[in-house]
Amino acid sequence: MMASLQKELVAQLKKGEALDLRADGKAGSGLVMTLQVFAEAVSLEGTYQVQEWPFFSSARKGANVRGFMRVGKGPLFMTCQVESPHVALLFTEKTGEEIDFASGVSKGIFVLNTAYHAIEAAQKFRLRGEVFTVSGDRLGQEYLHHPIPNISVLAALHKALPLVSVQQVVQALKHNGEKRRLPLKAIQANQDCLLASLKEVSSAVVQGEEAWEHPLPSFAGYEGYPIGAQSALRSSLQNLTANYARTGRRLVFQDPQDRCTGCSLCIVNCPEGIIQFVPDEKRGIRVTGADVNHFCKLCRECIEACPLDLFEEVEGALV
Amino acid sequence: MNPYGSIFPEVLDLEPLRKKHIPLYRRQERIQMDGNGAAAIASLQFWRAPIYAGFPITPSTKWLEMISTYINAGRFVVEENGRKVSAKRVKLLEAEHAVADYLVGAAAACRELIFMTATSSVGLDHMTETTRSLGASGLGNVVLINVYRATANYPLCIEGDPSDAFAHRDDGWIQVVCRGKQQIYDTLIQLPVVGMDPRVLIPTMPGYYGIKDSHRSEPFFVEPDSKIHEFQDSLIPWRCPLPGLIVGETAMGNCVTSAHFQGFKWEQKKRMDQVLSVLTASSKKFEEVFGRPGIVPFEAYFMEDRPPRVLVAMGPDAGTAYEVIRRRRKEGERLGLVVVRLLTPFPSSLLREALKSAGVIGVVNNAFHSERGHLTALVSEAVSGLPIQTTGFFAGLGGADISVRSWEKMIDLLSVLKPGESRFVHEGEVL
Repeated sequence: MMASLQKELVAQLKKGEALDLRADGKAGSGLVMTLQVFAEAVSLEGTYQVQEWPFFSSARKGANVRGFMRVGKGPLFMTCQVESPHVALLFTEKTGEEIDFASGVSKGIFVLNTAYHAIEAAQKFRLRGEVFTVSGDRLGQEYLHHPIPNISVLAALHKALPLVSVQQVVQALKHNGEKRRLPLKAIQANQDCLLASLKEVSSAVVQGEEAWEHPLPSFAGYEGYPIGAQSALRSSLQNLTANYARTGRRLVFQDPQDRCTGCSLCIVNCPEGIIQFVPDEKRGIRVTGADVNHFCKLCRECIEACPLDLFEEVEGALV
Repeated sequence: MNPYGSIFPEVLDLEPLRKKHIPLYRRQERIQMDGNGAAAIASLQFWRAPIYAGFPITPSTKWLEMISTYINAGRFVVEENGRKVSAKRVKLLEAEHAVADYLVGAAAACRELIFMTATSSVGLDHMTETTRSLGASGLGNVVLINVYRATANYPLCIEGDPSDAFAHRDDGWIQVVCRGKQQIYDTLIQLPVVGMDPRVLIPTMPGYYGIKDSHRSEPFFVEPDSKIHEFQDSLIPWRCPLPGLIVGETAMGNCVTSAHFQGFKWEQKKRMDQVLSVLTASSKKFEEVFGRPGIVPFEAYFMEDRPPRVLVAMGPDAGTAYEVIRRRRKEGERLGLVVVRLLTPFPSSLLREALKSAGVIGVVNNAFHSERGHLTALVSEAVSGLPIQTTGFFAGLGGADISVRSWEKMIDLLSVLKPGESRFVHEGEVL
């Protein structure tokens, strides 16, 4: 049974108005692929025109990324980004804690990858409208041996916005796998994951409280931007590249037996210049650690470079 | 003696190559794909393109990846003398400069074939020495797909900003801007025909905005390979001459004195002057064959009632401008929109004719320029002498989003700014 908001959106589409969708998550969550598959499924069915595009930087795995989709009955002229989406998706809960994935939406359809039930998720992220959740990381681990939520979120998105049949989504998913030249086994696992996820989507209609508004971020202007880029941007402590690191992992340097020879390989290989060292009479320098909190994006260059394996990537949050 | 150098028909027999082509599409289909995909599909459908040279750089990498995926999947494998060989190959080179050099050699050796690559930003800059030579070389069979990306690496930005295209206007190539997947696909098919026309013989640089178009998927129609061949073969001469060599034998990069240099440039300019008419004729043929309009020098919207205020824009963001102007016209405002497609040679006379009744023009620039903006300068030049106020805007630099609010603001500013003034606009605010 379609809830009222869903019905409203479909009616709006049929009237010729566009439907906007926005997705937030971490690079590596499969966000782009989910949107590509859904766009292809809806577009090739033939009733609607679909545009889908990502927004990302030269960020490593773990950085926040965004994706957009616009669906319409006739040709779509509007090309700007989506500010107030009808449907907002959240692929990674951590992203939801860092940015407001519902910004610009006072009432809408929300699709989240979370272990929470829809009612709890609505409470946590202050969402008003129709909320769909799916435990994507767990399902990904179960079916794809990797905690990737893209297929489960695709299932939840299909539940939230049933513009085409399940078969059409399955077909588009298969085609996407073939295009990426995935092995047949992986294509089948994706399909199994999709069908299983469809049964595990929880949903709720949430009225919410008046205080649960999600205003648009306001443009603060460019005053105070430093001259040039690299060094000044660094000292301004904007653009912290540590945000690009894999969530829940950090770099540590351990040398209890004072084995560091001062070879400096870590220092010259670190693209961020965060290796800390002190002068040493015998060795020239002695490495004492790395300033990981602002700029370590866990590129692992130091781990690879150190002949004594003094660097290590471990579980744990940044301080 | 052929003034353009010796031709060895017995060595280069094109017929077997044409027969080896395995079509990608046998009928028209509607597919959903991003811009790099649309460009790659078109590139793979040419029987005249047996080899693709490249070096990856974001955001153009996906063109090369997709070409490689098709080829390495064995999509073009044919049997030749009992051996299985691929009729198409990818040549991955050490760097962009090497790619451009490779294109020179290959294109000079086989003037009837099409040699393609795709690059962006500093990748194109790295090719500069060779692209400047290529512009004058007469090798119209080179196609360089320029996926626009900011050229400045202070700071590095991987998104779509046409500063690379503008920096290479003087390379002497034909530059065409695309927006949307159908335009990208269609332009790729049509442009080599213009470049290889014996009156033109100028390499071509079709371009589209990085991320905003290269990574945005949309539905579009792909045509059967046979129809593409029919179109291209009807306009590309079976034997292409190569102009501009003094003694007659083929050589690339001769050293000359000023007495000759100027002569070559005069010839090059004359050929450039032919582009517009050749392009128009091939667009007519394109429409006859495919039923869609071919490349136009610029798109004109809402210009029928000669609106007093006109925005001139470029690239995918013009779509939002179209929508905003459509809404405001419903409320009774007479506004027009011109979207530039042919960047080089710039269609000044046609643009002057289209804009002559306007009172105020606002030109939207997406690339950094120390003066009023490259596009503003070009448009001002086109309408010079007419009683028109030309103002300029900078918006969407580095591929920044140009929101509805920003377009509204720019339209509002049209009646406020003084002639010659320019403003940065972002998120609806004037900076």
